[in-house]
Amino acid sequence: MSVLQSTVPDFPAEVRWLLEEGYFGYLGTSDSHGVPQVTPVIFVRDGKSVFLTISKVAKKLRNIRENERVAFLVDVRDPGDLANNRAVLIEGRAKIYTIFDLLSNLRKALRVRASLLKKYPKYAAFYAVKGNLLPKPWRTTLFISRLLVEVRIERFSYMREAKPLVLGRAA
Amino acid sequence: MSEGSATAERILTEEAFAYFCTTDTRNRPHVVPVFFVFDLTRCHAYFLFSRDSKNVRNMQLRPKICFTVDVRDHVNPLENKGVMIQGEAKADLSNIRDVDREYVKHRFEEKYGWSSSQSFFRHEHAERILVEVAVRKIAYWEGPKFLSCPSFCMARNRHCCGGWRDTQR
Repeated sequence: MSVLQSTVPDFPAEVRWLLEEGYFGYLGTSDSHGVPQVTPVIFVRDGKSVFLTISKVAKKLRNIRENERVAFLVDVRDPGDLANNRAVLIEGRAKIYTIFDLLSNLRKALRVRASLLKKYPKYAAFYAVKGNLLPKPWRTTLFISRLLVEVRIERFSYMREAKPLVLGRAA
Repeated sequence: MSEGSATAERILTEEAFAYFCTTDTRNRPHVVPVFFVFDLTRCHAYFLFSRDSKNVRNMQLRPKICFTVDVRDHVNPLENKGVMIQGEAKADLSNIRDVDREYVKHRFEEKYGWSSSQSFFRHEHAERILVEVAVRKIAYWEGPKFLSCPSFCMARNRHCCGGWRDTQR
């Protein structure tokens, strides 16, 4: 286990489950003028961070460059009962990886890549077959089309039926 | 109306959850899932929030907000669709006319199948308030295709998509 993982706070089981199994997350960013944006993304958790890859032309990437503070929500909906939704809201700081960052965190980056492929096998298969037919900003090649972004979890809250139940702070 | 605009309209009227983002005075974003109705004729969205929630406190100080409504596809990323709206929230609707309040209440009841006997502005122990969002900018996406300002809002409200453009470039 890496040092990063060993310092992970003990997330409650429900929070851990949402961060492992939640398929989509919603990334909230805001620019330096305080104008917010929220968009769906795929992600993986690694220790006390979540990792995303974001298109180089995306507005959210420009927002992160202006303001590293982000919110990230992962939820699970109950189709039988709309009020029975569960969500975890993460508040943290986003870091955009440069090539130097990637090289100096190579093991972590490879682990994140493996986790993404394992978590999203159908997306991976799609991009493997049709990725080259997509517009360049939509392809998955790191640094050519996308950048790796780490959101370091500083605080989280777990919500059930839209009510906060657990508040936590990362160690 | 283009196919993209029609799909955007359907998403905004039929999907159950919106993901609503506010910022506090230290420019920290906050995101929550929330029930909503979208009024195509006024190009306004309405939300129900707990009166004492962080979202409401944020909106009272910084009314610029963003929300996204999307349709997820777990197999094909090209089938992911969504609408993102940036706008201005009005959290204090004390001056709203009763007839308007009743209209919005009816729209929520219709969309979510809530009984009209249920107290609309109370949920268990929390008092709920109605928040109105005037739309300033709309973006619709379907896979890699993007469409700014779908025609339904442009046609019905010329103020839609009229604001904030400079800050979004």
